[in-house]
Amino acid sequence: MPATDDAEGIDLLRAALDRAGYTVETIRDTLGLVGPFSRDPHDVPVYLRLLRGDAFGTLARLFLLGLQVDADAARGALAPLELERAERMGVFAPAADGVEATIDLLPWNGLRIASDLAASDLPPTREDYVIGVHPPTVTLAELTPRRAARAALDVGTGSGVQALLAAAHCERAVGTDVNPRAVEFARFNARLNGVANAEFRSGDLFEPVAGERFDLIVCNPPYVISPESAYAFRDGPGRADAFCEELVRRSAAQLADGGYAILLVGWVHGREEPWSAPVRSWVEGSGCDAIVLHTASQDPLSYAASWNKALRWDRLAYASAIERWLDYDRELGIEALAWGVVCLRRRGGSNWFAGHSVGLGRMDAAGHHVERMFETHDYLERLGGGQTLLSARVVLAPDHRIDQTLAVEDGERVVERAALRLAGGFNFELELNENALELVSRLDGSPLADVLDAMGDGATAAARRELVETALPMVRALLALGFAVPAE
Amino acid sequence: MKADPATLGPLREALAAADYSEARLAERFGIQGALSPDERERPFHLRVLGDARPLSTLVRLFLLALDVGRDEAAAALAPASLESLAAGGLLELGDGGRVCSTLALHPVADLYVASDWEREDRAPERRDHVLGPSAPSRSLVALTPREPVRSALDVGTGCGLQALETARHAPRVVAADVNPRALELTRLNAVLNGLENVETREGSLFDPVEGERFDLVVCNPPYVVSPETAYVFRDSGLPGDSFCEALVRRVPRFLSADGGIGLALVSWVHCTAEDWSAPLRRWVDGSGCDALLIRRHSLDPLAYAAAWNRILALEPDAYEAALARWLAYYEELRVELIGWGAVVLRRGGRGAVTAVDVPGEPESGAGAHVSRLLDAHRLADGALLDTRLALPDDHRIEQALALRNGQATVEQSVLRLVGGLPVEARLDLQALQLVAELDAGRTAREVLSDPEAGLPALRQLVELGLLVPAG
Repeated sequence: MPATDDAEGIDLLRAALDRAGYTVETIRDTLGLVGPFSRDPHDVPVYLRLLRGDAFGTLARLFLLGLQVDADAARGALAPLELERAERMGVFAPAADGVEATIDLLPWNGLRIASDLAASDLPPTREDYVIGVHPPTVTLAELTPRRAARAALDVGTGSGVQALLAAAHCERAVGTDVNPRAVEFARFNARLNGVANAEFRSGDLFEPVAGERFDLIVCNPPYVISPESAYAFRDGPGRADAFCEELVRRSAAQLADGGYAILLVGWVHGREEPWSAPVRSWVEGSGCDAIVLHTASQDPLSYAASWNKALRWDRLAYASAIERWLDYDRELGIEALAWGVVCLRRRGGSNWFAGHSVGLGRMDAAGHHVERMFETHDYLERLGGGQTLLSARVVLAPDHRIDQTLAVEDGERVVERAALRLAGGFNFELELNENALELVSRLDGSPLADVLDAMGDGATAAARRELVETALPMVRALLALGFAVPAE
Repeated sequence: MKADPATLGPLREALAAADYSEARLAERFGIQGALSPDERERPFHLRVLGDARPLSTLVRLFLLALDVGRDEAAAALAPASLESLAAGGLLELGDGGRVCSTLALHPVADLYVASDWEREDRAPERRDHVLGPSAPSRSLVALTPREPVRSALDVGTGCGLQALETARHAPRVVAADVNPRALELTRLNAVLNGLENVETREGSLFDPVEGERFDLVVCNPPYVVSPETAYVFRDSGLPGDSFCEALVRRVPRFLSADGGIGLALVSWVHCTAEDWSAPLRRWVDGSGCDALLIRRHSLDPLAYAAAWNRILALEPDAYEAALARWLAYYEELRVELIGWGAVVLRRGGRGAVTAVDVPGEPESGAGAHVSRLLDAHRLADGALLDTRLALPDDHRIEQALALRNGQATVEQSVLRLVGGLPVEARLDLQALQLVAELDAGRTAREVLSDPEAGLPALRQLVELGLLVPAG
């Protein structure tokens, strides 16, 4: 674990990283990456051939690949930080073939994040393991609205990464973690990245911030639902999804008016039950509007197998883990396991709840799309149900795109498939049938009733009624997903 | 192994009765393509398979390399008897009443194909290892035109997949291989699939068919450019790409003079300064054939060596040693890039050559596209402007557009073929307009303001099979 008492030493480490060009771009260009860096054992010998003997190559061997280098090379690459001092700081240790780093250091999103050494495909060796930047980190960061605000809270901060990102657009950021090693890593990372307005407190969840309110709360919690308690970063305390429920309720309670909470969560639901039902009950009466983005639901076997992949090298351990997880699910009557993102916004008055089942794979920064979804839901709420939507003036969002596949038959173009998406940000699509495609192409900001009048021009009264009946839910869906917005 | 119809016929019946097919396995177990004897996934596979007999029994025996109880095996394999399958060498009846299979048995479309066992985490053990239906082998199946022919030759047949596929549209198929074990498996597979028109001949490449000619020649050779000689199925033992070059140069002599078609998967060395197709054009120059050169990708030496030695990555020292050996070899031969793809030759043309980049996996309609691209050579340049051309039925245009005030702004249009060779061409607005007008029955000379200037782009669309003669 890196020590935080030698602040000047950390500054010298930053200087060394800067000097060597230890950045996302250098890593990508040197290693020829198309996606994010991952330490696949297959790739290490290839990477070694692409790295040169310069300072960057040495630092990448140490901090990216977790390899030993000879002491002289390390000394040269670390200057102006002295090797002995780096050892005292707890980021280096003597090794058989020279020295090795005791931490991983991954540049990401304008930051450099120290974490425990990644053990490639193998399960981590310690319970209080501090995980580095990994896919859920990225998802959470992308979904967080990046508006200027006063106070931000990162619950279960781990390496501190979300708090450091929030500190860039909030006056101050607080990170809490029950794992004291995580708090040390987070403080180290704050200093390493020259972030002065992030503060880290040791303690469980909201305990260290009792009574405080925040404009932004983010959390990438241990949301896996399992009988395990092996890893603080993965396994939530309590039974099934009780931990995530608690997280959602407590976050809602500590949001300032108008503040957003973005929480990665897992939950269980019945096979026949709508996936949104349990989460809906969590936020009822919380004083917050809620949008739940549901990524996927899995059956117990697929869930157990995918979360225990790292154990595959040890057949007995893998088999017994699956057995144990399935027993646990059976005992608790768990039929389906879901995960996704709960987005809350505190607002007085009567609150609304919306759920969208969307794939959330790799995307660009989409915080502005989350905010837009809240705005369009507010708009729908103001309009009320039924035919009131007919008076609405709606246009497609300026950053929309339509992907269409067409075939030409005898010189005529026939649209076979069309889908609406956004250019950047959210990466989900909405399929458009022929009527929907015509409807969206006519949305010009005049009242919807006029748009539909023009569209149904010349049709029978019955056909026009049907047009309205199919168009209203369509426009509602366009607004709900942020593909359409109220006209200025 | 004995290719005995009295044993394999009943086995085929048992497999068909259990609906032992790719589609059924994907539907029943939802793990398409993932059923391989990867020990690490065994606990997961076993739970997914559950007790859905007889299908689960067949998967255990023939895809996962697991043993099953004698009674369970007997029930799943009836009407074939365990004793006869054991006598034929396919099953081993172990002590304690357990049964296991000596071979993997892959369902491929409506065929069953036996091969040696393969494991994702372990390199093959024997030099005469017979590879199962690999991804390249399936690509070649897709690329092969399936029009009826009089005779066909599969050079380096391996487990016999190409020969089996070809036996459905050629009354006479010769399957040749230097590896006698491959021919044993090919005979077994032919009988297992009830195909009686596959003849096997032992010998290197074309040696066993010297002086004969065929309407169709297919070849999935050991094309890897490497210093190794470990595996017959992978390593030719000849320097650089000289093996593939010699092979391609030999093909025309075995093609029927009246339009015989030959397809070979190949790797070749090319340099960054020239087009990827330059070496292949030299190979086919003066062959008396029209040629279609298909590239899937080119890799630099490091990426190529890593890709072919990935299976060793679990043994870091062996992996490292292999990379060092392969890279030293490329260094010595001054290799800059290594291409991978296919050469298609059709005898009797005027030596026209088309080169296409096809980064994606070909689908089942690719054979028809290959024929179409070869046919495009027959449209002489001069006639192109006055020929009535149309978009083929299997074209699609993909557009990304944005709407502003009811006006659509097209950001990009891509014309592509679907269901076969994934070729595509970007269309600007004029080109989009042009193809629509051609399809409506006009000729390019009528549509284009400057026909001669538009000719190269038009020819490219025709060469890619994106425009075809109307009617």
